[in-house]
Amino acid sequence: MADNQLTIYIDNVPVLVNANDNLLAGVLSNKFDLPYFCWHPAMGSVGACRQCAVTLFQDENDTRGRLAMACTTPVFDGMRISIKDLAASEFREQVIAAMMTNHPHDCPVCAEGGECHLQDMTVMTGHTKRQYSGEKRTFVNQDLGQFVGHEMNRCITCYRCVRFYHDYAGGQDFGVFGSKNQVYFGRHEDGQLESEFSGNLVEVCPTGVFTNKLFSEHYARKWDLQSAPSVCHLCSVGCNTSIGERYGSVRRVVNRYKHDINGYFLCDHGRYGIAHVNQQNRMTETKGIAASLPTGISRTDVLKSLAWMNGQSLIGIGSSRSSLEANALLKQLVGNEQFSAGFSNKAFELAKYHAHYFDANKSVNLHQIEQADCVFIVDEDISQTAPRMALSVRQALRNKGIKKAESMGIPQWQDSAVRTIAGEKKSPLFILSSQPSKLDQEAEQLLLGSHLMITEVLHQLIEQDVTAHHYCTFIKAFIHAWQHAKSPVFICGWQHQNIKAFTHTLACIEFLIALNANSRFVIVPPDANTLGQLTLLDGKTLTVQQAWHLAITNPDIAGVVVLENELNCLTEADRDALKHSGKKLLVIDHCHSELSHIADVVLPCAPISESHGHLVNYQGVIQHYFPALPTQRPVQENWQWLVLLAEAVTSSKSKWQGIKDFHQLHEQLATDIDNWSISTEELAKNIARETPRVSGRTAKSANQSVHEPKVTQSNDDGYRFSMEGGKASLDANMPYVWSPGWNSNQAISKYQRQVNDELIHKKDVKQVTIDYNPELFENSHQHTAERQLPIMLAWYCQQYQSQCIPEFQLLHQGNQLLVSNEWAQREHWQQGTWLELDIDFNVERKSIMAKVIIEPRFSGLHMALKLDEYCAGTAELNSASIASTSAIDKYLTAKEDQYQAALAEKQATLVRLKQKDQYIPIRLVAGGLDDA
Amino acid sequence: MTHSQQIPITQVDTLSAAEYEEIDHELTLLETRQAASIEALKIVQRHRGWISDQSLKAIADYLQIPVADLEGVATFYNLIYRQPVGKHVIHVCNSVACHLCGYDEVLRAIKQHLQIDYGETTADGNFTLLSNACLGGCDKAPVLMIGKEHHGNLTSTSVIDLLNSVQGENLGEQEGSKQ
Repeated sequence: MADNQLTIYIDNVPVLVNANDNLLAGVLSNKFDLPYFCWHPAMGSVGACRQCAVTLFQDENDTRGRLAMACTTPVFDGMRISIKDLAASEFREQVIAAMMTNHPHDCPVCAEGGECHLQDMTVMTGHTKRQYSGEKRTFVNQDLGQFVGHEMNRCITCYRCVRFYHDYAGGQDFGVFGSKNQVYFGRHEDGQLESEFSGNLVEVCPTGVFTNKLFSEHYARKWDLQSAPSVCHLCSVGCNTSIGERYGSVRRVVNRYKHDINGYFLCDHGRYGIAHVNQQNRMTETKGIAASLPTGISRTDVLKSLAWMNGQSLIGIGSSRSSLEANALLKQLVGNEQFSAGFSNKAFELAKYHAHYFDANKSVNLHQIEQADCVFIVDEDISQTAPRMALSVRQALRNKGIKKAESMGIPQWQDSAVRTIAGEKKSPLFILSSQPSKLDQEAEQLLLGSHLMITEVLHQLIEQDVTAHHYCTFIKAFIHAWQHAKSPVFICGWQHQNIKAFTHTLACIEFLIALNANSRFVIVPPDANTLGQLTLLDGKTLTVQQAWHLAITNPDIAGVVVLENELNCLTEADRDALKHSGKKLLVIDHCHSELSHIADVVLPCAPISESHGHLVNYQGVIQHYFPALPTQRPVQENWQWLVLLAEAVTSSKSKWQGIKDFHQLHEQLATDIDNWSISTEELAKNIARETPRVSGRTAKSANQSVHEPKVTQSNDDGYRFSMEGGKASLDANMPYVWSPGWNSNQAISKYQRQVNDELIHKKDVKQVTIDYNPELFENSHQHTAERQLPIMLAWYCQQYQSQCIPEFQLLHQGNQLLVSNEWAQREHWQQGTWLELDIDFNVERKSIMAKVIIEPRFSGLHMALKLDEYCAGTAELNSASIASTSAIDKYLTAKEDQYQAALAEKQATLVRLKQKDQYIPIRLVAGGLDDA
Repeated sequence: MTHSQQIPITQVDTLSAAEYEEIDHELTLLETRQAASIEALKIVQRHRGWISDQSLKAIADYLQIPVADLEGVATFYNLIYRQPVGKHVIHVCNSVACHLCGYDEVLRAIKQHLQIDYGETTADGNFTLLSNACLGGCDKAPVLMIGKEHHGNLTSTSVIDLLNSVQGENLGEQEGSKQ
């Protein structure tokens, strides 16, 4: 650490700063207050706003000094600067004064109010008086789609938005227009922002130009939110989030800084996907449980209603969207022989290979991906399945340019200079895939074709066969780049669930290590806890279909318990068969599904915003999430229901009976399971989830009772449902980020060791180990390649839970069939032709409509299907015919109806939530069904 | 599918063969296609008088760059017109030196004579009036530019003579380059 640090003097105080970073970063790293706008810790300096001026002295005898912009000034040993110097502080005040000439005085109606970096900086500079009496410049705002609001009058021209959206995230539909005093940031015309990272504009903008539309519609000030540290549950990356709640409903998700994973940015799925907890299809009532009192069900009611379970044998089907402990508990409950981790027959094969090839030591986190200098992606569209990872890959591609700038003596933080020098130079990216992706245009070499082609290319790659075939350009270039890279990264995943391509892909790993010993690997699983499920596998674990059929055929089995799984791999016939077999179906979930409709017993569990648990990300890192609000009876956390089930199944003297809280659960799991990797001991800080200035503490439920309710007590974690308690910054898992004078998320620099570094309270990374060593055999059953149809889903269709969000459904574009030139010519299909497709989706045969899009980059006879509906893997095409006009009309009318229905649903949700605000649930103890 | 169609299919003009040819020539001189942005805009403007949304999209398509990027360039430079302009565009310098030397009177005279304000075009389509930050002729302030010609040391009377002489030059050729 010491070797890249040097000493500078800030107002005569000697401090250590990072020699490779700029002066502003050094000042902030030492926790001094210095206002800034355009500089961003992840995006470096451009010197656009002139706000971070300091006085720079020649030496210790110089008393006059000169003004320097800290963000564009490199540091040197013995450097002397002053922040307090009058010239510098007056200059900073005048810069704000100039910005304020145009900034409207609309703070009361601005969604940024109370967490506005501009407010903070204005106060910091001491600019407290309105002096300007002229007219203010005004703009016409744009409709930027479902997620981001636009109010250009508030703009202070820091350029952060365009630098993030365009430069950092590669978005193409956003720019900066005009010049002088008329500079406009937006799209070239109204329309939905196309980038998966558009929501970051809200956090990147230092003021309220870009706001979170969903949050603004059902709004609360930051200081009024009750927040909890959480982990995104919508893909396998495991970005850290903070969920904010008020009056019993979730309002928003914001980024929670995690150095190794998401850093400062989230994708839109993570930011807006939380809305599913507020949708109509949330389950709030039990089914199949008889209540003995009108006040609601009690534990005894549940045990009575589930008396049929006593001493019975059950099948348990878990889920990779549920927590590690809930799944482990389910496995304990039903026993190894009757447990399915929730993998379908197909997925289980992938899981076996994944478990075999998973090596925590050879895996990389997102921060390490950003350091890579060569990336190879095989058949996984991470731009949609794990968008935050794709953002890191984009940063990795800059490394070649950064290196070139370095060789010319220009440090990395000089953002615009580095980008200019880099020009079109990019570190090499190779993509071999069955579908196009947003990263394609960044690729040095790109091959798009069938899974057969992919396996062929990989085979030739391993053989280093560069002789004849037309893949040899790709292979040659790849081998050369991989051999010469310092830290190459290989990325593949489960997306298309094609076992043959997947095994061939994984078989590359050995070859790539032989080629370059520094090779690192990422295997992208589909869900937030897929890796957790891999740790639960053993030789006896069943697939979903096996478990289901065992339940039907084995007379010793009384029923099936399904934990947070919609089981979309089962056919309608499968579901009917269970019904007819007379076996009971018990579903624990937080949202309705086809399964919950036919279940005998439904137990509503809490979604991520109301529950505790651990998720294991793609890298095997175990992360804890905490509830932002307590559950409302009869909703219980998944593990609470399972403990109750365990009691119902075993006798009343079971070991599970005493388990009242999360700690006890983990103690029990630790005794029952070898190498249980989670301990909950460190959670004793009692951090307040609410801010110290939260309003209405004594009044917010006065319309129901004038007695001030006691705050909900919970022994479960280190956080309290209260404004009283330890401060947010006591732990690395901060419910929200705030520091005196810094109300916006920029306060994070106060809690980092130095800017962009680990948090001061960093925790050791806990990673799972996977002991499961299954027998691997290649699946002999293969489809004919040309009929195979890889399915492409946009990010907003990737998860069962979040696809119901109306804002997501409003993004649907209609089904598209991407076909190669060869196919189009053979079938005489034109661009835009509507087809009626007969498709085998593994579980069902369906006829769907799709529009032909000719994809000239597809080689050979190849097609891919872009769907609006959530659906996993690959499908098979039985036949395709040109659709009749009436069929097209019917489809388009149905689409329009869906669109209107989503619009209506969006409005209805808002009305319902606002009504709900009037009835704040009063809850005393968050401990189970019987605690009032 | 009026609403659910996310990508608006906006009509894109095709450029003329002459325009393509001139842009192609610029492309041979430059390292990247993007670098030809300004020249391409100038070429199309020379042919059409201004850059319409459709022209902008057509140029962006041809240069293989996002429309937003090209729009950034087009709106940054004040000699690229994103709205139809008259045959003669008057750029009146409104920087400090001109303000000190009688800009106000000159501007008032122009506005009165042509009966238009900044950003407007005369009914006959002959003149469009725009402001311009410093034309670099401070020694001859107040200054304006008509077409490519600078005119300095103006007064409220000399500027009217100037306008009349420009108008006189074009008497007879009624075509005008209005849209």
